[in-house]
Amino acid sequence: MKAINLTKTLLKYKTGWVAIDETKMKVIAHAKDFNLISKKINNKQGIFIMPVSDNYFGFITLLI
Amino acid sequence: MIVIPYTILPGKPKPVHLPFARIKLNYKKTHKMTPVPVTALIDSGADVCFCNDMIGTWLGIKFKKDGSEKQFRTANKTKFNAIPFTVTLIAYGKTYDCKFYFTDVLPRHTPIILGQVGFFDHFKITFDYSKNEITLI
Repeated sequence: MKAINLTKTLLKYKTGWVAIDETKMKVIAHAKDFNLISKKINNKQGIFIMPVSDNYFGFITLLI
Repeated sequence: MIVIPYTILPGKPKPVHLPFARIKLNYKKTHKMTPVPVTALIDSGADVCFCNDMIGTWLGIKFKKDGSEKQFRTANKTKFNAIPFTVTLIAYGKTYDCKFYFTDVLPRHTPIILGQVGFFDHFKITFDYSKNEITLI
């Protein structure tokens, strides 16, 4: 299966949240936080939202 | 059976492959739901599910310091507190109530973490990094 490659899609964005078109894999909206991106997309279908970072490397897991 | 691809994201020194799912959350008390799916990290190393409290606030959850906070620690032994609330998780044809621990200390790029209790106990999950796919049964 081909991975979803968002490296180019997210190239311009370093912070905040983006809304991405599921089919075209293009950013259709950008906002500072979850609240603002949710308002911007206004229940459009066929998209998903995610926070942006210029570096997704370095996650460590959580333990109780 | 649902097969979802890994997501390749910017990383330093090189891009990273992460097992991201897309889920919706609904809070029954307020009838508020995330407007569209949100990316969530499928994390076998997390004992429970976590969510950024900003999303919780958007769902209408009223966070109070009433003693329900639970203390967690990261792999490097850093401690942090999170408040449990039950929300409805909608993902890949399943809808069920799930306890999420809300906190403001999650890594910014992983605002939702799907852990053992709450996600892995609802799906049989196989990670196949070489094929770029995650299988949920």
